[in-house]
Amino acid sequence: MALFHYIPDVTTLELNQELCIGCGICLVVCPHDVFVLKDKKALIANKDNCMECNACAVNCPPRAISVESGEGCVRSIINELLGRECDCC
Amino acid sequence: METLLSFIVAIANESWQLLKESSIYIIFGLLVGGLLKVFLSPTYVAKHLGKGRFMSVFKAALFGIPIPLCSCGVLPAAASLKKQGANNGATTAFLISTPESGVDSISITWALLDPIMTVARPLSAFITAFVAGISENLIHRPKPPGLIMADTGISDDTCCEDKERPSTLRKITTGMNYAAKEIWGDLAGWFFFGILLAGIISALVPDDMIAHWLGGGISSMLIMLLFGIPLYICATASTPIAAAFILKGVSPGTALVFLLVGPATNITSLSVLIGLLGKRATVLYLLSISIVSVICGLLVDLIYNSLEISAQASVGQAGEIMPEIAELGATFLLIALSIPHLVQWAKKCFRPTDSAGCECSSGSCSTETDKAPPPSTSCSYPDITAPVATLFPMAQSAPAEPGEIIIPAVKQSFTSGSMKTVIGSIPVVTSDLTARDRRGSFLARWNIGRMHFIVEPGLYALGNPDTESPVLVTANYKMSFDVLRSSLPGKNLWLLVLDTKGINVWCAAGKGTFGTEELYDRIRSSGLEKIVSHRRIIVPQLGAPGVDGLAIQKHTGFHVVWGPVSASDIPYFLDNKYQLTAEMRRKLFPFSERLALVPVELVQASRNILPFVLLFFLLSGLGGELSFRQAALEFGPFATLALACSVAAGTIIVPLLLPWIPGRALSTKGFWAGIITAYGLFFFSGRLTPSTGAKWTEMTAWLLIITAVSSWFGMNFTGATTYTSRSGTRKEMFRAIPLQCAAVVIGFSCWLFARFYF
Ligand code: SF4
Ligand code: SF4
Repeated sequence: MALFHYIPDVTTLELNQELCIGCGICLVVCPHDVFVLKDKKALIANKDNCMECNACAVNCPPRAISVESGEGCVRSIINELLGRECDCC
Repeated sequence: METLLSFIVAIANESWQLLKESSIYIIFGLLVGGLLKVFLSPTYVAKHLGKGRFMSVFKAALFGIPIPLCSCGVLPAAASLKKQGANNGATTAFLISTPESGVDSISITWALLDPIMTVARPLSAFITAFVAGISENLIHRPKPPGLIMADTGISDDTCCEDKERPSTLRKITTGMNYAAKEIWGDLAGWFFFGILLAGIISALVPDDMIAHWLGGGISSMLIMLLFGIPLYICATASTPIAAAFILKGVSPGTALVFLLVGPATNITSLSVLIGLLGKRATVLYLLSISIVSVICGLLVDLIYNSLEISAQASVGQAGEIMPEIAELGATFLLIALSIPHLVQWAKKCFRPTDSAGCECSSGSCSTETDKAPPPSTSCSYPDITAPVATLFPMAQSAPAEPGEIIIPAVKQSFTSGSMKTVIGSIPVVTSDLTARDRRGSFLARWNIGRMHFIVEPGLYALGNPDTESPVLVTANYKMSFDVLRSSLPGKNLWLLVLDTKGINVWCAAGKGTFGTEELYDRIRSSGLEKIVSHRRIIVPQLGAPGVDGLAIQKHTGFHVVWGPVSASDIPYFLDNKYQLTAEMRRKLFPFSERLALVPVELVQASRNILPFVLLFFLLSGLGGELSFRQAALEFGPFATLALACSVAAGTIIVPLLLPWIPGRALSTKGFWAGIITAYGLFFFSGRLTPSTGAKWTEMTAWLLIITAVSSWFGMNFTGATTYTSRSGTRKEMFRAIPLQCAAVVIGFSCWLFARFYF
């Protein structure tokens, strides 16, 4: 079974290859097959698969990955836009 | 039309009278209640209960009388009493006398009923409580209190402020605050509901009907019992209803039965009681309440008869000694106090609920109970199984001292025994789920009882593990815990349960409750270091967004190994030296998972759409030559059907047919689902080719509304999916919402046009 594809060209995921030490942790924690390892460096192979969950950024030892994480959820975004505190998300 | 209006006016009038008469007394009751809260803390009560079989029951029943807590609020209080060593009888007595009467309800009884009832009510509550408690203790001799739980850390203050003893003045302000915010917050919604219901009874129910059935005698009381036991209503709100009953000719004794039984029991609290006291004690509890209430009711009728007083005549007499101006002032004050609570209440009705999948969830909102409890108009039970039960909702649980080891209770509904270890007895679970586990999961999926579907955090043994056995980390959402253990038959492992406030791993990781800090604390406080000789923990990969594996290793010495996404792959993972295939690292979103999400989405969407159904009914009835009823029945049902179809399209068709509906954006998928459903609806209701211009306009209206609503609910499913990113959702929203709004506005205008101008 395949992964679902959501709206393309929007992810905020970024990888700084200079910092990457090729440990491969991002490949392990990413639930959506975003990375591959090539020549001891991580590469973003399937950028549109990213769901901005933050797992890779939190666990990358040299912090080579950055992503603006958040819940992809209509209600939370509406609450945020309205500046409501009890963000049900 | 005419009659409808006059009904509404009559109801409003009756309700307003009741409100005016009771306001001043309610405020008085709240003030005293607030003071009681600070000066008569439950810890104090527990300390003074004593150990005797009779004395403790007597005192518990007595203490319960003035405390203004409803039958939900009293549960955590009683649980805490029990933890502090009170015997079953005393706990039972407290559980009965507290909700049946309180200073607030006593004073409102004085306002709306008469002096006899004002005395009879707390007195009967006391007797009921005492009898139930004593019979409990006589039948099951209380064991000498064994281990008394460590100090529960309940403080008089609502917040964890300064540790010094607060001054009396401070206490009073705290009490007042508590009265206005907490007590009234719990009661406001129900109180207005009660007033309204009483108004409806007074205005609509024909007099002779009630008097015939409930005019007195034992049969009236029995009917009232049947009505009152499952009903949930608090003591304060039940009073205006009782007043309306009496005015309609119900005998005062029968009304008393309602006043006693209504608040003391309801279906949900009974199920919690079974957990707290056991089945036999719960049956005994019900029996004593029923029998004593009926006897009290008969006695009260006897008193009225022998004194030859008519209860009907004396109802509401107290109001007349109050000057009108004071009554009005109090009423406005009360309304002012209520506005924030009512707004909260209304908000709560429209609030998104927890979806099993994730994210947008009131699950997390409800977990904010530990910060500020929402006005619990529908009871949200605090978790009574938690090691630290709190009496008043605001009291906070004490965090673990550094170095202190916390072991979860060995006896929980799902544990099967205990295991001796170096740090004490650890609860043991098996991989077999019982019928009870399954029923809980089923209910939770439908959003019932979700918040007390919780496992105490800490260390558990699965099977018969030893110092070399692997350690699996999971969330304390009972369903996550059950899925995990049931996929590990024949394994011997340690399960480390984190406190994620009853939310599953994936969602909790997103929110940060399944996070580095909690994992760190739990490793320390569970005593894991002493239990296992290795230094390795298996954390589900889906927890990675919240857990910094390196930080854990650095600070605890435990190496984090990322386990598979799905629990069913864990046996493979364990047997293959912690290796996994790439497939097992993927978070897929299969049909079964989407199917499981449907109920929650459906229930929530239906709740959101309900007010609109009513609106359409109302609008259907107005105008035209037909009477209100006829016209409402002419247009209302189709409107309901159409809205139901749009909800079904967005919350059933979209999730189930997700991969096959065209479009990437969920709003697009919702749109297509809406088109198909609208087509089906028109086809099967024979409206595909409308005959008149009016019908054409109406069908166009519904096509627009159905697709817009379906698109909206489809888009809402982003909160439950496992693959939508925030940036993507944002982009889709900004495109879809304007279109959806436009479609609804145009559609609604068309509908109005068709309804009123053709
Ligand atoms: S986790 Fe960071 S350092 Fe390791 S391979 Fe990925 S990007 Fe490179
Ligand atoms: S944010 Fe999540 S989905 Fe995106 S690349 Fe990182 S781990 Fe993968």
